[in-house]
Amino acid sequence: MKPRILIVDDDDTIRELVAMALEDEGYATAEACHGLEALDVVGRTPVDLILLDMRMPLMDGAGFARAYHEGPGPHAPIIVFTAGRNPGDAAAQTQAIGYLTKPFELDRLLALVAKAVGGPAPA
Amino acid sequence: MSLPRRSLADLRPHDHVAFLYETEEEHRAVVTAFVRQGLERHARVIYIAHSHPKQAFLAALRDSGLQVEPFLASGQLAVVSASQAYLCGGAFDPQRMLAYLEREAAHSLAQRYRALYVTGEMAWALDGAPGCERLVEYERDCDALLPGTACVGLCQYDRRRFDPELLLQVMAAHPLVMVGTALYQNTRYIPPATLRRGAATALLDQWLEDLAAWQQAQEPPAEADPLLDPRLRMGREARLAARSFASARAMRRAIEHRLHVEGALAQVSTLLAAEEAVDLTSILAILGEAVDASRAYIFRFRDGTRRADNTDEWCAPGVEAQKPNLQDVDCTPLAWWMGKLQRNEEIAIADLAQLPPEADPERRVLEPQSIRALLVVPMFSRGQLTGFLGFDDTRGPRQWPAEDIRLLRTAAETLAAHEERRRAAETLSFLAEASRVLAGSLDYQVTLQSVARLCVPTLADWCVVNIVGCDGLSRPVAHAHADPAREPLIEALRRSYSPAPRGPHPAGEVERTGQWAIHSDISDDDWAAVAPDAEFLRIIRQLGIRSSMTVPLVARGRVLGSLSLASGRPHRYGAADLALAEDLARRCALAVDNARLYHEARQAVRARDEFLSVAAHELKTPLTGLRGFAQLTLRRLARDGALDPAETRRAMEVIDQQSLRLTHLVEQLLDVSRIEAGQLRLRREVTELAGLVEGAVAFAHARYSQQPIVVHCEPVRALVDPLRLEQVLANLLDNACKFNLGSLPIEVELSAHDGTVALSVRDHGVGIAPEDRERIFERFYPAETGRPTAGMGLGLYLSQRIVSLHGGHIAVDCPPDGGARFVVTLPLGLSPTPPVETPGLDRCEPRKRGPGSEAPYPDR
Repeated sequence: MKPRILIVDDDDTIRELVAMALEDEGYATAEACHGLEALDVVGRTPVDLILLDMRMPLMDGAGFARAYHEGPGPHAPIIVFTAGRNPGDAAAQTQAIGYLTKPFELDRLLALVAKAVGGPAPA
Repeated sequence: MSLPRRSLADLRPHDHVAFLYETEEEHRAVVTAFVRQGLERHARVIYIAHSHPKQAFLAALRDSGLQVEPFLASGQLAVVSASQAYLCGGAFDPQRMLAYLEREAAHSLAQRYRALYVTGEMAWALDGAPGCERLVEYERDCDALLPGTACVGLCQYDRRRFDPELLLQVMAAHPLVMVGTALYQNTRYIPPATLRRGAATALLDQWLEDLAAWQQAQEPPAEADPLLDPRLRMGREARLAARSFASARAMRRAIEHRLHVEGALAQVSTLLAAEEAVDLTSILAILGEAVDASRAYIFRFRDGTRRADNTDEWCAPGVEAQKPNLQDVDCTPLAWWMGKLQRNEEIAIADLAQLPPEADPERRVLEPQSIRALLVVPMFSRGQLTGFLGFDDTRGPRQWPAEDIRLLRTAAETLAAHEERRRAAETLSFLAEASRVLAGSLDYQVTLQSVARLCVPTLADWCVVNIVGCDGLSRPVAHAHADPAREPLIEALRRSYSPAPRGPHPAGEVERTGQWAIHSDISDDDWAAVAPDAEFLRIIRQLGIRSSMTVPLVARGRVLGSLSLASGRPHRYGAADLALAEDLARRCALAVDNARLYHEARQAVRARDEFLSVAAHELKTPLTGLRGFAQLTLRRLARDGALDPAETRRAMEVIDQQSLRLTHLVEQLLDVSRIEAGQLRLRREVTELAGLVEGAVAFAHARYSQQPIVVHCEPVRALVDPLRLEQVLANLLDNACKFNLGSLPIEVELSAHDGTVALSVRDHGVGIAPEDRERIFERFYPAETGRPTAGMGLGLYLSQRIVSLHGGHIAVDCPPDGGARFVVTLPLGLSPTPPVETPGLDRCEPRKRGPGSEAPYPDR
């Protein structure tokens, strides 16, 4: 069973980029363009990891994390990516296990993901 | 120097008194008191009797309640006859008599008495005994002896029996004269020392000079000189003496009066020159006493009116005060009086009965005050008649000499100058204090509250500061009442009633017009006319406001609010108060303006910081795409050793898109900078707007394919910059797509009527809070709110500026059924032409546009 990773970002290009990079490594992906949509996705199918942007319309990253953690478990770990000035704060706000600042290195993203879900699935 | 002697009780050893009496009652009263005093002060007393029998004298002492027997038995009191004391051997020898006194005084001290009291009936000298012509010589020598002898001498002269000429000489030898029962310092006393030191010549010369001066000052008209009248030649010597005496007395009175007046002026000037508050009653007392007036007073006109109040009054002993009856006196009917004051003339009435007929109204006011004569001078301040200062005489008619007028004039001028100086000093220190308070903090609510407190009770019983908020409504931000117990009333007014737009408290009117307002006499009826309900009236009545003054707070030509001062006294506010209040208001306005500017500047700095952080965020997003796709391609190349053409094309497309996006972001930033510099230029051309709308919708639809968009377009041609207008529309559509929720479509409408284009974009999102609706068009505003949005927050700002460059307007409303509707209205910019197509609503189908097309990249 491939680990399933949810990518939450309002920017189409970034979702596309991250999805391609993860799929190249053999992960399954799901996408949402804001917090509300992400809640909808995790509500329907459980995921193994959430890659979360902070600044989004309708419901931002912090709002999503709060709602998500208030909901019934088990909760997938969160990795935050943000262009903001305080990624550490963003990580604390969302109870994330790690963070990336935009623009990020793909290698570093993939290393964090591998660590979070226990290594890449066989291709 | 010996203390002045004013009554018998003041007598001391060494005193030499001539006692002139005309009745037996006077004689008995003084002699009894003198003897009793001597005995009570443990002095030895010798009474030398002549006309009054010894027994009658002792009986008078007993009648006064004195047990004389013990004193007679102990020898403290002795009664001897004149023939025993003065006329030893039937002749009078002054030296022997003096030796007798000296001996008896020494004897008294030896017997442990404190002094010797001697009183003698001098009528023995009228019996014609040898040596009695030496009486004056005796008195002179006695006067020289007493200062060295512990003796008090009271020489009894019966005025009914002694020759006045003799009495004159006798009196000159006594430093003290008792007339009846009154004791006087003898001003005509000639001290023995003067004579002894040979200074008599100098004294005589002085007298003669004085006489000449008095004579000259008298200035008798030559032809009226009674001395030249032949009928009076017979009494020439006597008349010369009499006239000399009368003229001397008159002159002396005049000089004394002038000295009094000068002294009074000096005293008044000294008091008024002092910086402290002056007790005006004591000033009036000095003036009144100097001219021997019955009353002295100050009246002040209420500012700008002819109503006067008696503010200060002094009354001589026994004269009834008039001040309580003389408040709020309407001087309008007193035309004669007011005319004189206005012309800066004094009003000198020597006899109230002699008033001119035109002064009848004045007579009716003055007569009930028992005034018989009167002197009044006007008081002016900065050319303005402010009141008058005056004297009354209730005893009878009198002339007012030039000195009295000069005294009153000078006092009035000094007083006015003093009050002006004092007022200026108070104003200055008040404003200095206000400035200090205003500079104390940038929180203007706190500082205005301090200013309000500063105004009571000096300037007002009640002070309110109103500030016009950004909603254009005026609200009280500070208030104070002189009576802290009544502050809750103002609080209640503030809570329950919005500022009355009109009425006796005209803050609204003042703020609208920027003009000050003074209400001098607000009646209960005035309040009743504007009171919205009974509760309001009840509070107002408790506040007890009779006059008010409201000045606008103006800074940089803008009315920021108002300062209202109110008093329980009618006619409280005049020109000087207005000047002070306006000065204070200017300072308050400046403080408010400064505080606002400071606040705005801080907010601008905060907004710019936030904007920079948002802008950085926005720039980093396409950068992430650029770098990400480059790295992805490199990873694939490293993994596979070759590139898949389809994957590579997609990556290159994204890289191209993202660099374009970066370019647009940079363009936007440059647009903002152009607008700030006023360099954004429109390239207008006649444009078919429906086509432009369709293009923008198609582009949005391509980006947000999941968002349905419904378009209603009228064919409209207008003179616009098509690229800039497309930028606006793309922005609005982009926002709508981002915020639209659910399945309801975004609605776009284009219509025209009356030369105006209306273009609206409506979404069904969460809408915009009312307080944000104006501000979302501000630069950086969305960034400031910190709510989740996307973009730099420049889109609406740029749109609004572009629309306004077209002479149009952009607004947002939130329909009751949810979402937000942005409406752009633009002038057609064309001369009216008949419509080329049938008017009506056409349905335009959304058209797709390729992802690489160069439409402006929309952003909120």
